[in-house]
Formats: sequence, structure tokens, C-alpha cells
Amino acid sequence: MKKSIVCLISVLILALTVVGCSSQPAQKPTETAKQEDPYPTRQIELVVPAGPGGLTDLTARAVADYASKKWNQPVLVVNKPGAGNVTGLQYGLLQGKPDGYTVMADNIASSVLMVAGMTNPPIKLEDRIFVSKFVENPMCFSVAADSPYKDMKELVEWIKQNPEKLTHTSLSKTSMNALTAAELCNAIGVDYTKTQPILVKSGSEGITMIAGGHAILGDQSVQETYPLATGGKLRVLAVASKERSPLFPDVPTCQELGIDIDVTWYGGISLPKNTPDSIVKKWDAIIAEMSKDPEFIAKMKEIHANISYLNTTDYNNSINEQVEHYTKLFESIGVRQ
Amino acid sequence: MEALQMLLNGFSLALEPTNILMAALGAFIGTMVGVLPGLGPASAIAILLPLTAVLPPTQAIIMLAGIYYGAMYGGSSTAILLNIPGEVASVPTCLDGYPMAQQGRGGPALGIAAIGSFFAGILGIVALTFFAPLFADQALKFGPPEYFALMLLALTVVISLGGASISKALAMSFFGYLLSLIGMGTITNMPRLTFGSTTLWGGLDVISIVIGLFAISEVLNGIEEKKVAISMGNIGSVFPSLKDLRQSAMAILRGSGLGFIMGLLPGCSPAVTTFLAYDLEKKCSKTPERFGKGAIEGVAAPESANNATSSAGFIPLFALGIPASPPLAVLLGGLMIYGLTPGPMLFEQNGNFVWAVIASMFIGNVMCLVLNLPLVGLWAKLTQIPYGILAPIILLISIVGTYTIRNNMLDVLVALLFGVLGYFLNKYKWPVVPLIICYILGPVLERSLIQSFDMAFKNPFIFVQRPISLALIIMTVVFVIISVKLRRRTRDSIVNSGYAQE
Repeated sequence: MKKSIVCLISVLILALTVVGCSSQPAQKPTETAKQEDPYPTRQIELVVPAGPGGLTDLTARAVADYASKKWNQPVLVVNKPGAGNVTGLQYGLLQGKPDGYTVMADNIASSVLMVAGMTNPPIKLEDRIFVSKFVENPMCFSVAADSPYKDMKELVEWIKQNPEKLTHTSLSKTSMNALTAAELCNAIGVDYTKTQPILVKSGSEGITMIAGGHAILGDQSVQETYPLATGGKLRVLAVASKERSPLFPDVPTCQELGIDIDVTWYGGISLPKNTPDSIVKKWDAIIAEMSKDPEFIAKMKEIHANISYLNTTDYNNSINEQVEHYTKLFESIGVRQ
Repeated sequence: MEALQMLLNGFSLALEPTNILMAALGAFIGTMVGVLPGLGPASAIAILLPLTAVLPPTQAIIMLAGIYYGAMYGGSSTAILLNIPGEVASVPTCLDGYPMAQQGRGGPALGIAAIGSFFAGILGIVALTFFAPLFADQALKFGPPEYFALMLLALTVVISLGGASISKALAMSFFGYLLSLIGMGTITNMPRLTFGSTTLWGGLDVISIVIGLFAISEVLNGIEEKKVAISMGNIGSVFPSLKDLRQSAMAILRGSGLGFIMGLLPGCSPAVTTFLAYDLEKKCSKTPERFGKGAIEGVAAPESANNATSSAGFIPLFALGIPASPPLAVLLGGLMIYGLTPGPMLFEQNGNFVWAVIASMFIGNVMCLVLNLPLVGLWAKLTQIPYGILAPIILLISIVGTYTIRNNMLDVLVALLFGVLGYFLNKYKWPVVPLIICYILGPVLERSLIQSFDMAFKNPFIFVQRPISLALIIMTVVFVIISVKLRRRTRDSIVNSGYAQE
């Protein structure tokens, strides 16, 4: 009896060790790879610059799942959290070889906002090739369920009168949350620098503070807002994107209310710079194909993410436009460092 | 009594053979994860998340939840036997568990850890069954000022766990806080104390520091002492004696209660609650001088607290969708993959699922106990392995463990450095516990202080204007007074008992 327990344990330890070690590439890269060589021929690492469980991670896992089935090669999600995306980006883009076997799950915060928010960012736009965008998650405005503001109009009126009393939460001075609040303030003619951001460590910490009434304006994504909103702890007032969110079909968009803003979190796939063009094309093709796959669509719906595909050219254009716009915005509110 | 009926329904589902199997599997993997340092429940659940693609939701979540609470059981074994805290939450267990193992009482220590964990786990699930929405609403009332006051309260632990010299304890606290500053700043998001190296942007990982200070420095100690084995004597009975049980009963109760209440608060990790529980036990004890030298209450209290904390974490998760700790965040991800959005709606729309998972936790906790108690004898034999064989294995586990935290060589280097540092600190009697406490609490304290000022528009009186934070601050003052008195008493009784040179 005891022997069998020992056996069982050692087998399990072995199994766990194998799982732990499988992040190592199975084979050495072939030095003589030519353009026509088939890709992929071995395991691919998909680097997520955040811990498991967030939207970047969940969508990356959906991509990994699809790509590994399509290509018949394992695509392994590697979580490298820390330092506001920098740890993961360094690992994936600076240390990763440009051979297509290190792929980055990039998002607006790790690319556009980092460059727009810092004069000398540790990872620059040129350090990677933006392949394609595939997921969107609009930002929205919410207040605690027992807050006196019943709709967006009332809240906006109050903000106009008391900008210095407006508290809202943000991951950093140049995060998606800060951006969302700043865009709102600009659109309604209020000086954003008068408002009081409260810096938080995670999206869930921020939204919990709103629900508890510790800060006034919720400026998180619809996906982060959804659980507490359906639980009756939050009142969602408006969605910051052009279209209504399927999660809140009854909540108007800001544009419907005459507030001209469009702020959406998005994620895509990037490769280290100098990765061969053929590999970029292969990834773009598979992402395009994936965006139409019914199984993938169903999965994305389950994790409350909107599919939104942009090909390499369009994606790059939109990023360049955004960098310019958001750099100006961050400079105007004096948070660019 | 509606809840009871729903729970019974849940049991009928959870008792299906496949679901029992999943609970057992989860409990088993969880125990393993707890044993291996570095591999925490968050990464284990993440590694097994792809299983959700093949398993139906109830089975998958039952298993993933099992890993989460099972890990709290497993963490005690290596902490007690080898002085390797698999998680930070196991550090207080080392303080008395390892001396017990050295005295040949590893068996009862492990036994009481399992029993305390079981009791606390069951208590947490009962509360989850009957009061989830009620408790969840209370947790929302905790804002930054309340967290600040709570962390202040937790800091008082330094005074009573800081060893003989208060100035040494304070110096170590300060050093710990200084270390925690390395990395991205809370407010500015600019790197601090990184000396121009981007590798340090992510900061040091507390697990690697803990493994260095405890496991590696202990190996160095053992080599110096030419240790033959951790314990020469018999391991003692696996089951704690009646006297042990009597001594631990109150400790288990207090640890569970404290752990449960703090577990309701998002961000209050088991690491904080176990230290507080250990300290509380020392304060309640009639013989505080026994602590740190193999007091069985010192094992029972923190081990109960960490299980109570982890069970309580399910309440904000299921009721509000707020993950209280990183592993729960991953579990939330698992729920989302199935399109199950936590919140009151989850109970209404997917009642069968929720109650089956809750019922499975009862089963899983029984499994953990059944799994752990008979294994205790086996584990405890580890202490009799010749140290020459065991020491390299401990080193290997430590190094692999620290690497797995972030797949980063920096963490291994840190663990080795702190191993050497810990060896000298030990030698010259500088306490390491204050360093770890301040490393964990410092950043939370800083963040909640600044958040409080921000939300109050720089009004420093916010801490005394809010009832919960005021109550916590008063408790802090009371605790400081008790701790200082306790120090005097401990010193006196040590002098009286003739152990003055210790």
C-alpha cells in the first residue's frame, strides 16, 4: 500500500516536472532555415506580459488553442508578468529570437500607451512587428449602485460643476483608465488635471473601489465592469466606444449622448523585429481565418471579448494614428514622463 | 434553510463518481503544489486551465478549486520537516514546526497542521454556504483607509515576533521595506532602486527571498554543524496526543476565525493572516516563551488561518466576482471560459453548478485530510534521511522552485544571495521574520496610504473619521501595548527559567 503511494507520488512529481520543463523548446532551431522552409516545425511560445486570468491571457490562450490545432504544433502560453508589461515585452521582443517561435500577445497598454506615456520607453514601437489585431474590449463609465447619479447626464453636469471633487481609479497616470477619464473630461470641457485619480494595482481593485463607494467614477472596461454590474453593485452609465456593447445592450454609448469619444482597449499579435516576412504573413493569415471560426467566436463570447480583426497594414496605420493622438493627450494633461 | 436544501442537491451532483474523482485529483495535485516551493496554486491552475477545453464546467472547476485549497494543506509538510516554506503563508509554520521536527515531533506537527486545516476549511465552506452574500457586502465597505489601518495592525506583529532585541527587529523591518521598494514605484510607475538595470524593474520576488532565508540558509547551517539528519529520534506518533489536541484546540479556533474574516477582504493574502494568527496565539498563550522552540499552537494557528483565508476567498469570488488573490483570479478566468460570470446571478442562473462546487469542497477537504494524515508518517520519515543526501535535494528543490516562480534566473540568484545572508543573520541573531513581514506589508501600506489621501483630498483625518478604520487603529494601539508588556513578561520568564543565555 505504502509502496503504491510512493509510486503515485513520484509519478506525479515527474509529471509536474515535465509540465514545468515543457516551456523549453523541444528541438534546437535549425540554423539553415530558408524562406521556403515550412513554418512552424516545432513548439511556439506565445508570451503574455501579464499573469494568468486577465483578458490578454485568456484571449492569448484562445489563440494558442486555435493555432496549435491548425498548425499541428504546440503553441505554449508563457506568462511573464511584472513591471507594467516591461518584463514580458523584454522577454518576448528583446530576448526572443526573430524566428517566429517567440510570439507576443501585445495590447494597447503595452504598445501605444507605453510610447505615448513616456519620452524614453524601455520598449519602443520599432522593437516589434505589429501583425494583426483580433480583440477589442470597450471602456465604459460606471458609478456605485447607491450613487446619486442616475444617468450620464446627471453625472456630467455634476463633474462640470465640481471637477476638483471627481475621484476615479487608474492603473497608472498613463493607463487606459486615465485615458478614458481624460477623453471624457476633454469632451465635456472640463480640465482633467483638476480631477483626482486614485492609483490602483489591478483592474479588479479599481472596480471594487467604485462599487464600495470609495471613488466616484468607474472608468474600466466593460469586461471588468460586467460581474459587479450584473451583481447589482454598479450602475453602468455609458459605453465609451462607437457601438453599444453586447454585454450591456441597454446602456447608451457616449456618442449617442453627444459626448464625442471612442476609447477601446484592444489586443493583437506582435513578433520581434526582423522576423521574416513570410512568418508575419502566416500569422496574419491564421488570425484572419481564426476571427471567422465559429468555435473561436463562441469562446471569445464566453470570455466577454469582442472579436475585431485588423490586418497588418490597417493595424499599423491605426497604431500610428493613436500614438500621435494619445501622445498629444498625455502631454496636454501633463502626465507624459 | 433553503441553502441547506440547495447544498443537498449539490451533494447529489458532487457525489457522482467522476466529480468525486475530480475533487480527489484536485486535492492531490494541490497537495503536491503546496509541497513544491515556487510552484504556487496560481501557476498550477494556469497550467491546467487548458483542461477546461475537454472537461465539462462542473468537473473542471471542482478540480481547479481542489488545487487551490489543497495547496494550503501541502505547504505545511516541507515547512515543518525541511524548513522550506513552499509559500510565504507557510513561514510562520516553520517557526515552530521545524523545531518540532528537530525534536522528533514532526509527526504530531504534521498531524495538527492537517487537522487544523481541515477544521478551518470546513468552517469556511459552511460560512460560504449560508452567509456568502452578507459577508460579500461587508467586504465592499473596506476602502483604502481601512486597508491602511489593517496593515498598521499587522505591522505590530514585528514587535512580538522580532526576537530579543527590538532595535535589531526594527532595523530588519526597515531593510525589508527597502527591499520591497525595488521595482516599479506605486505612484509614479517609475523604476525605483533598480540601479539602471531593467532586470530589476519587476522587483524581487518574495518567495525567492523566503526560500533563501529559510531553506538555503538552513542547509548552510546544517553543513556547518555537520548535521547527520534533521531528527535522530523516532518521528513520534503521527496522530497528535490528547494533550496536543487540547493545547491546539483554541489555537485552531482562533486561527480559523481570524483567517476567515481577513480572507473576505480582497488583497489580504494568507501570508498576512498567518503571521497575524501566529502572533495572536503568542499573545493569548500563557507561556509565550515556548513559541519559536516547538510550540504546537504555533503550528496549529497559522495552518488553520491559511485554510480559512483561502476558503473565505470564495465568498467575494462567487458573490461579487472579485478575486481575493492571484490563484482565485486564474480560477475566475476558468469560470469565464465557461461563460459563468460570478455574482449573485451565478447562484440564480447556474445554481446547480455553484452548489455542486461548494458541496465538492466538503468532499475535497475530507480527501485532503484522508490524503494527508496517512501520509504524515511517510513524510516524517524524511527527517531521518542522512543529511548528506537530503541537503543537496533541498538545494535542488529550492533552486528549481525559485526558477519556476517567474521562469527567471534573477530569482534563483536572489534566493542564493539571501541564503548566504540568512546564514549570517542567523549566526549573529538578527531576526528574519520582521524583514519578511515588512516586505509584504510595506507596499500595501504605501499604496493604501496614498490612495486614502487621494480619495480624501489630502485630509489626514480620514483614518479616524471612518468607523472601521478608527476601530482598527484603536486595536493597533492596544496591540502595541500588549506586545510591549508581553516582551517584558517573556524576558522575565526566560530569565527566571534559567535560559538567559538563549
